[in-house]
Formats: sequence, structure tokens, C-alpha cells
Amino acid sequence: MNNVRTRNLVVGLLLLVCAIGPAALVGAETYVDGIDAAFPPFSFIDENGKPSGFDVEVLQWIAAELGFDVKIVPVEWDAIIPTLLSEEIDLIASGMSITAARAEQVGFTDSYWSVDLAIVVRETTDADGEPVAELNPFTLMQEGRRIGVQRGTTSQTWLEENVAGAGIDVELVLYENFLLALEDLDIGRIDGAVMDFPTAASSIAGRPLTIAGTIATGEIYGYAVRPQDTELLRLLNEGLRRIQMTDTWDELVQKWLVGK
Amino acid sequence: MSDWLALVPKLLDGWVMTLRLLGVAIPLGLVVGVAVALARIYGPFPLRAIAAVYQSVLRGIPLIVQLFVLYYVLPRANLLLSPFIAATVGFGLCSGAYHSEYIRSAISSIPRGQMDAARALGMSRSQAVRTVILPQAFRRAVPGCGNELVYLVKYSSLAYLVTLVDLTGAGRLAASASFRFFETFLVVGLIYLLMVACVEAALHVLQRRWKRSGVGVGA
Amino acid sequence: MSDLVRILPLLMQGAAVTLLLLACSLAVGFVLGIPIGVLHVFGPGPVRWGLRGFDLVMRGFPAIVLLFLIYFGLGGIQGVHLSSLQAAVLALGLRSAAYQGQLVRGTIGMVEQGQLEAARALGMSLPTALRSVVLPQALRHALPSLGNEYSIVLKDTALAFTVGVLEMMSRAQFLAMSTRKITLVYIAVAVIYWGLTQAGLLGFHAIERGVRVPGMGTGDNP
Repeated sequence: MNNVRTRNLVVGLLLLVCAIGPAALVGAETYVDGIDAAFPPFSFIDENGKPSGFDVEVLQWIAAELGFDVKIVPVEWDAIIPTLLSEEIDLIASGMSITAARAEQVGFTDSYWSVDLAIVVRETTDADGEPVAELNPFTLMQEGRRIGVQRGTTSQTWLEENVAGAGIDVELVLYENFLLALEDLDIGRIDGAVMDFPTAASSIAGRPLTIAGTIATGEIYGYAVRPQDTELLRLLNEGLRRIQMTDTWDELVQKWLVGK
Repeated sequence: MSDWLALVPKLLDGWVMTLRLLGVAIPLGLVVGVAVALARIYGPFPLRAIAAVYQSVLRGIPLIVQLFVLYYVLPRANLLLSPFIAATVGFGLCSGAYHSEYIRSAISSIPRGQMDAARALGMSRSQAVRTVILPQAFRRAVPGCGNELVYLVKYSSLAYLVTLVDLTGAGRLAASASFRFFETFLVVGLIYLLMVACVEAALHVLQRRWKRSGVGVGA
Repeated sequence: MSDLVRILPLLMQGAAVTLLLLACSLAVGFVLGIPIGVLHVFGPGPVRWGLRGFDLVMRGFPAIVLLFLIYFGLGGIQGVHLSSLQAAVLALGLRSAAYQGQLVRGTIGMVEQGQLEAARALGMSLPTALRSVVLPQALRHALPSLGNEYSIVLKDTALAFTVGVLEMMSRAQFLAMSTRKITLVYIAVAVIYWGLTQAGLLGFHAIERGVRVPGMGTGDNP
């Protein structure tokens, strides 16, 4: 009886240790990259559970080139900055837009890509049977319309500041990731969705959705690190500089970012 | 700090939404619970079987999965539920499964003799159930069903995952806008705790008022 | 059908993480729940008050709020390294510990006072008496409710995706959205969760039968 309980206690403690243990295993030369797990084409977890995407492959190239290891973990996008600051991850390479508000909290590398926001709506057919957007940006941004965005993105901020903030009473519907927003748009619960252009372009294939217009925010993407990690920042900037001079950069851009 | 306080009204809006959800889900759950319990005990065999399967399935699957099925899978069968309906139906059906088990076991614990006596007095079965069995069953089911009500209040926090801005959803918004995650969720949690305490107090009062000397669960 | 064959292994990878999370959380709950339960009954005043506060929070806050509090809140403190899985284990584990503590407290009360007195009279210290006489019976009484706790924690693991744990629910979401086979994926996931629940209940029944002591009164529960 004594032995049974002792054994149970030991097993319980072992399980406890197993849960807490892995924290200690991340080595000194390994940097942990936090990504949004559902943000194609820049970062996502593919069907097989592997991290994939433009930012993932670029970072892996940089890591190989400059001689450090990188471990990629998916993180809740809405809280990715606190996750970075609490040192659970060391950098964010995941289609992150450089904004003034974010720059107050983190350090950004030089920008490596620029995007606009896309306005996605349902596609219908007109009188001639041609596919046409159900709504245009103006009819969408009107009182009572429901517009879906991903929680914690610049799309959300843009709509809050420039539409809701300008007095147009649209209903902003927040989703945990933008794929859920597209699904709801398809189903018919929302009238439109706003997200980064490349992600919109690569995700509406096969759905009766179309891009009705773009919002020329000209957002620039950069990697984010903690403000005090100047060495890592230097490394990443150096890596970005180098890769952009190679053919690999053009290949990756072709592969992920051009004309899906 | 002051800009954090400015977000408090948003939390209150979320709280109102939570109360609206509960206002529908709680009665729905109780109605479903009674219906399924009666089906389990008094129904013909097919109905009893369906009720048993219902109980097993809805209590064996996480609520979040049930909500996603109602919200994302049903539209594939052309059944489009709004976020509010999906959430309240989800909460009501799931909660009803738990209620039905408590009510069923309460009904079973009432001595057979009561039903026999009622029938002997000339009551039909449904009269006997309505006037003799159920009132006693409710009294006995209060601890279990009360417990389930507390769970429902807490699990209503999942509504934000189907895009409703309830208390938890408002909390997420406020937290990421202010970067004060710990404070925000502490406040949100305390509000849930407040609601739970109110439910438990109400149950306490109910149990005292319904107490009848000589009638006890252990009889 | 071939779709099912394709997604099932991926869901099972998620299920492995779900089970890991479940096991660790229940273990934390068990290992902490017993001392908590004992202290509820036998502990000094201030300790009991402290436990009551702990109880209030763990059983009054929704599980998802506890997850957020620990992942964002605790993990947000400088110098604290808390991964998603660790935060989830901590949140679900502490919550389970509060419930299991209440359970142990209740079942300790079911063991006749006289047994404890007799044990003390025979010269046993309180800890020994608890360990050898009271707890073995109390824990046996608690088994059915522990089975219930397993069920609850299993279903709560499905919330861990909100703090980034790649368990079965998060896998299901990626798969559903990327393959568009929403119905198939969510029904499959529902079936797997249901199966795991039933397996657990059967397991607990087996344990109950295995540790049953004749004449102890396990069957006398009202």
C-alpha cells in the first residue's frame, strides 16, 4: 500500500518534471522564432505540422548562413509581443508590420517587404454571367456592414481608426485567425474581410471570393526583437542584407509571393 | 493607467452580452434537461435509447467542439446560425445533457411506491409525474443542477470563440489594446466569480425555502 | 474516405499532445490535491483561509480565463520562461488541484471519526494515521469523482489552443481550414474526444474494481 502510493507520487512528480523540463533544453546558440501559425504565404503550419512559408524559409537560410540555430514555434498572434518580451521567444519573423505603436515596444530590423491591405468580398455573377465582386469598397464601408479581421492585426487597427473611428458604424467582427474570417465570409455571416494582400491572394483560391480593392497602407514588414537584443538585431539585418543579394531571394519571392 | 480604466466600459458591454447569453441558455438547458430525463425514464425504447446517446455524446465532447460544429459545420448543411443563436443553442444543449442526468437520477431516487400510490388514486401517468414525482425530483436535483448552472456561467466564456463580444471577448480586446493582460483578466475573472457567487447564493436560498422536514435525499 | 486516411494521422499527433497535457495536469492536480485536501481538514487556521482563497479563484474563474492569466500574466513577468504547454499544465493542473482538494476533503469526512481516533490511540502520529488509515479509504471513495475530473480536464485541454498549445483542437482548426473538409475534421475530432472520454471512464471503473476492499463500504455511497 505504501509502495503503491509512493510509486504514484513518483510518477506524478516525474510527469511534472517532464512538463517543466523542456524549458531548460533550449541552447545558447538557438534562437526561438515565434510565428503566426495560419498566415500564408509568410508563415504557417502546413498540413503535416511543419512550419512553412516565405519568412520561415528566409530565416532558415539566414540561420544557416550566419551559423546559428533557429527553432520555430507558433504563438498566439494577438499576444505575440508580450510573448517576445517575456523571453519565451527571441524574435518574430512572421509578416509583422512595422508600426509606431509596436516600435515603442520592440526593436525592428530593416524592412524587407511591403504590402497593402486587401478588401475581400464574395463573388457573384453579373447579368452577362461574368464574375464580379458583390460589394465594392464604398458599399462595404457603410453603416451596418459586418467586416471580419484577425484579432491583433494592422487590419483591425486600420479599420478601428479610419472607419469606425471616422464615424462609420460598421461592425468589426474579430476572428482568431483570418482563415476563419474567410470561412465566415464564404458562409455569409460577414459582408467583407480585410487582411494583408499576399495572404488574401493566396487564400481565396477555390472559394467564391474576390479582392474588391486594396487599401494602400504600404505597410512594411520587419523582424521584431527585444529592444535590448542589439546583437541579434545586427545579425538579422546582416542576414537580410546578404540574402537579398542572392538568387535565393528571387527564387523565394517567386515561389511564395508572386501571382498565386 | 487611466487609459486602461477607459476600457472598463467595454468590459461592462461584454458583461451585458454574457448576461444576455445566460438569460437564454439557462432556461433552455433546464427545459432540455427535463425533457431528456423524462424521455430516458418514461419513454418507449427508441426514445430512451436516443436520450441515452444524446447524454453520452454531449457530455463526452468538449463544449468548444460542439460550438464549432454548430457554427462552422451546420452551414455546410445549409443551416446558418447567427453567433448568438449558435452559442445559446450550444450552451443549452450541452448544459441540458448534464441537467438531464441529475434530474434522471433524482427521479429514480423517488420510491416506486409514490408512483404506485398516485396511480392507485386514479391519476394518469402524466398527472402523477407532473404533480407528485417532478416536484420532489426538482428538490433533489437542486444540488446537481445548481452545480451545472455554475459551470454554465463559467463556460459561457467560450462564446467569444464564435465571434461574440462577451465578457471574455471584451477582456481580450481590452488586454491587447492596453498590454495589461494580467490586470484585465484578473478583473474579468473576478466578475465571473461574482456571477458564480450570486448563483450559489440563490441556490442556497432556494434549497432552504424548498426544504421539507422528513424529506431527504438519503431517505 | 481517402481524406479521412490523410487527416487521421495528423489529428493523432495532436491527440498525443492532448494526452500529454491531460496526464500532466491530472498529475499536478493529484499531487497537490491530496495535501490541499488534508490541509483543508487538518491544517491551521491561516492556511485554511489561504486555501479557501485559492479555491475561490480556481473554481470561480472560467478555465479559459485561468489559462490567459497564467500564460499572459505570469508569463509576462520579466525573467519568467513559460512555454504554452507549461502554462496550460499549470493552469489546468492548479484548477484540478483545487477540485481534487475539495474531493479529498469531502471523502476524508466520509471515513468515520472513530478510525482516526483509534489510530491515534494506538500511538500513530497524525501524518502516519492519515497515510495508513484515512487516506487509503478516502481515496477509494473519491475514485468515481476522480473519473469525472478526468473527463472535465480532458475537455478543458481543448481550450489550450487559445494560448498556442498544438494539441488536437488546434490541429483540427488548421486542417479544417486548409483542407476545407470542415465537416469531416470536426466530426472526426468529436469522435476521438468521445472515445478518449469513454476509455477514461472504463479505465477508472477498472481501477475502482481493482482496488476495492471487501466490506469497506464503497458501495454504500448515497
